[in-house]
Amino acid sequence: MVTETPDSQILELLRNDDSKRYGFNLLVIKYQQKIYWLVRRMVLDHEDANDITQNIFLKVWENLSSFRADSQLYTWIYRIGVNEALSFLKKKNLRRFVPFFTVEQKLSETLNDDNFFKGDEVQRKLQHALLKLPAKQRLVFNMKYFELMKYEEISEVTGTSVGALKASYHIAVRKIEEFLKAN
Amino acid sequence: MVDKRQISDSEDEQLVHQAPELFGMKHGGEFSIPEGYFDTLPSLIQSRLSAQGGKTNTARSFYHSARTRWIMGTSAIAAAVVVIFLIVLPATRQSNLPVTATADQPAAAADYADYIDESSIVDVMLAGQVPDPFAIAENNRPKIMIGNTAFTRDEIVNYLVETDHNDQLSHEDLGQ
Repeated sequence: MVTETPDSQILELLRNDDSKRYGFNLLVIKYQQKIYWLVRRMVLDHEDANDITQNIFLKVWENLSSFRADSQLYTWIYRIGVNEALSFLKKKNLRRFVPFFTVEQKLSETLNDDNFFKGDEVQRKLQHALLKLPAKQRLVFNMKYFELMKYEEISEVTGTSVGALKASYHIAVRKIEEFLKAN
Repeated sequence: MVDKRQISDSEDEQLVHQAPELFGMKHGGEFSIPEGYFDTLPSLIQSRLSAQGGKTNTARSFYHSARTRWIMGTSAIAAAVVVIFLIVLPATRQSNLPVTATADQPAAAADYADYIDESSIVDVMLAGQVPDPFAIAENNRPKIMIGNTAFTRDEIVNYLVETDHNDQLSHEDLGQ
């Protein structure tokens, strides 16, 4: 079984120029899957998720000096990840060629491709339901429902109050349940 | 069966009853990834980092800091002003200088235009020559009388250019 390197040890390695690259490699190994799945659930496509995940870690590297020890490492990395994923969707929406369809509508179509999506029909339905949510609400739902993060943690990542997050999550759950029942 | 892991906050427990379909769902494996993807991702990121020269934000922050951008912007404006003063303005000034006549370059054509008439051109053509407007104008221009001798302007100019005279023309020089 692979043991995860504690954040404190990674940070210690990152502070030293000689061990910086090694420490960063440990950071990537530790957080790559969490970040990848956070992004993948937002953009659905693997190639996009791969590009964004790599960019997120490059940004983490570039901004290591701005990381303050008073926040947790994973929260900080998540924050960068969330911003990258949301700005990717925003840019894609701006660049789309057919102005009547949003990126989410386009992604909804690709979910019907069996090469792309491996889940069963219920899981496919859930993904369709998720794509009907606004991007930020979908992000909050993913972090709470799939990543099992606490409201306080999500609040630290997104900068939104716990109360607002709870309301957003409850509304999302209700919308999705309605969609699942109706379809 | 409800996945209790998804209900970490007690306030959310009521959601289980409100959304049985959602919380009764199984998860995992819905998205496929290339085999061994997470084994290769760290080295991919490391190689991209090496390609970028492994710079942290020291270089970026230098370029992106407000102070640096202000300095660079001001320097660019200053450079533009210097270029305008050193290159553009002198060139403009030079082009505005009045045209002066020399021995090889007669005065401006406008100066001659008043002395060219149709009949003089016809006369030259009838004599079987190609009309030279400057010669016609010079011929028609009133002569300058120095003493009893009439001189054309060209004759006087040529005299002044070809002969090293610092003093005034003498009567002898003028053929008197």
